[in-house]
Amino acid sequence: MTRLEFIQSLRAELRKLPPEEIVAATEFYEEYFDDALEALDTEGLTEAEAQRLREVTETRLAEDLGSPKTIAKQIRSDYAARLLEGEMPAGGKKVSVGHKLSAVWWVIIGICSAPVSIPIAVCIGCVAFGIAVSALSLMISIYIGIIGGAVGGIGFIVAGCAAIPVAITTAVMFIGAGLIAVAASAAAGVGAFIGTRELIRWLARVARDLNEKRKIKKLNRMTGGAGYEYAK
Amino acid sequence: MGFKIESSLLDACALAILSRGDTYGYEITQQMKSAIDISESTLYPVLRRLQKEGLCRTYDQPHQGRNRRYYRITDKGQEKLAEYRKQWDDYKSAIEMLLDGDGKYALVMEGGEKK
Repeated sequence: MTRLEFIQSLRAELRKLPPEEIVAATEFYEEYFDDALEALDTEGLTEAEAQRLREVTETRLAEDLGSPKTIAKQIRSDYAARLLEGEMPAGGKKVSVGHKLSAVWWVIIGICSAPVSIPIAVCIGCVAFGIAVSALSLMISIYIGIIGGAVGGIGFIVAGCAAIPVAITTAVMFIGAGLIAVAASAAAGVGAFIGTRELIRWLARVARDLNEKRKIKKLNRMTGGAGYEYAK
Repeated sequence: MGFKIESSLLDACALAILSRGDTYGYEITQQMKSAIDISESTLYPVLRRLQKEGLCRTYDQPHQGRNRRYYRITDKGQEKLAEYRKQWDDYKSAIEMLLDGDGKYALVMEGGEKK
């Protein structure tokens, strides 16, 4: 890893922190490189040799410093710890105290509004349950409809076959209608199957996203915004 | 070194280095490294923490066409360092007592218990 790669990678890893923190860290390491290079003994070397030595040293320094990812992780968790201790962040307001206060307020509001909010929550729960049940019933009825169509079609074909000795034209009409019904049911069945599969996939994705968002929110509450990083 | 160095001990060491005069990041890292086995990247978080806690502050000085950031210990930092030195002395004698090979501390402790 070269010096440039090290600094760029470090900056990228810190991008979620306030600009002030990013500048402080990258400046520190830039200066670290500069000072380390200055400490090199280039006496008696030609300019080309000295340049070569500087390049080699830079790469070695970057390697000795270790992975920017690890360094950034340490900086981020230190920053989060400072926020939790109620230090002033760049904005100048005490984030964690504000968060604690708002948490207390939410509890108070929650208790005071319980007589109203609990029935409302129950109502919302019931409505959601009703919607889910009716969606499921709709799906089941679509499947039953398709099966019915297929069974009916088969029935027509059987009836048609039975009618061959009696009236050939009627028999052919019956068999034709039955075949159409069976084919249409088969097509609808394939469509319904694909639709169900997509619906299940979509629901799984929505559930996962919601879960992820909740996790990030919780972390952000704990670290005053720096938590987003940890969710990854 | 076989012992894990804890962060407040690192704070104490960095403050001690700063108490001998203003200096810059690379130099502090080198001094720390000459005494204890730490990685090059250990120091930035330590200095940042000291700075945020008001135990040291920084100023920039032009040096060879660029700026060099110097760290200076504050009065609060001096107080904290004195506190750390006191804590270290207590800690050191407590550990020495436990690690003591010839048992002279053990006698003292037994004598103390009889009272």
